[in-house]
Amino acid sequence: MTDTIQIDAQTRNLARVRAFVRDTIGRSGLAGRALSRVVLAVDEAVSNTMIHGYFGRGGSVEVNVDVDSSSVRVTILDGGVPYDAARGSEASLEMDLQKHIESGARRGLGLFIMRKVMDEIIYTARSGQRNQLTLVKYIGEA
Amino acid sequence: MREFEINIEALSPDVTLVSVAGWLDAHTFESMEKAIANLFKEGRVRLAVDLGNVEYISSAGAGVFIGTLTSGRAKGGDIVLMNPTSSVREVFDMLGLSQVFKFAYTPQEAVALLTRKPSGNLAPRKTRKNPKRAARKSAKSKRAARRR
Repeated sequence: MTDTIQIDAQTRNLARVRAFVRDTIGRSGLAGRALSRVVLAVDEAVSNTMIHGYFGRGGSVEVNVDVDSSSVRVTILDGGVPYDAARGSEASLEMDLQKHIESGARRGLGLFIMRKVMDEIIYTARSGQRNQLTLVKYIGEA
Repeated sequence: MREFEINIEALSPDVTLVSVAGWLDAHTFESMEKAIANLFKEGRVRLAVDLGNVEYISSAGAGVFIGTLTSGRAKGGDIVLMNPTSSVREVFDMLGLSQVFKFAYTPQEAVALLTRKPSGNLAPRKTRKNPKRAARKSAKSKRAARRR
C-alpha cells in the first residue's frame, strides 16, 4: 500500500514531510534510531529537490512511501531541474570527508548522508517526465 | 515541536552563549547563520552554542557550524558546542564532525575551552640586562685588555 503526500516545494514544508514519513514508516516496525536515520535521509533528498531542483522558487513535490515486510521504499517525484551528478563537488563515501569539510565545502553532505543510510538509491530523469528518486531501506539493517 | 528559536546572552565578558531550540533544517538554517554573522560583526567571536533543545538537525544545520568554525577561527575566535542531543550526535557522528568540534556540558566548561591560552613549547626566557652589572663587566674586560 502506498501513502502519498504532495507539497509545494518550499522548505517550510520540510517538517510536514518528515512527520508524514515518520508516521507512515513507523507502522512498518522500523523504529528508534533506524527510523530517525531514514527520516533524515528523506529530508535530505527532499531538501535537495527544493533547493537545487526548484531553486527555492516552489513547484510540486510528491513523496510516496511503500512499506512491506522486508523494505521501506520512498519515492520523490518532482518537475524541477534534473540532478546532474557531474556538476559540483560532492562528498562521496569514498572521499575523505574530513578534508571535504576542512576545505570549507558544505555541499554534498546531504547526498553523503543519503548514501550512508539507504541501501539503494535510484534516480531517473527523462525528458517530458517528472524526475524520480527512489530510496530503499531493507528492514532489519540499521 | 518548536520550529526554531534562538536566545543570545553573555556567558562571560569574552564568551557569548547562543541557545538554540527546535529544528535546524534547510528551512531554518539561514536564521542561525544570520544570527551568528551578526555576532561576528559585533566582535563576539567566542561562541558557546547550546544544542540541548535541538530536536532535529540535518546537514544544512550542521553546515552552519562548519562555516562558523572556519570563519570564527579566522577572526581569532572559536566555537564550542554544548549538550548535543542524540539527534545532533547522530548527524555529527555520521559526518565525522564529532572529531572536529569541541563539546562542553556546563557553562564553566564552555568558558574554559573558549578562553584558555593555547599551550605549546615554552619560549626561551629573555634575560634582562642589568645595567650596573653590564657596566662592571665592561670595566673588568677593559682592565684585562690593558694588562695584556
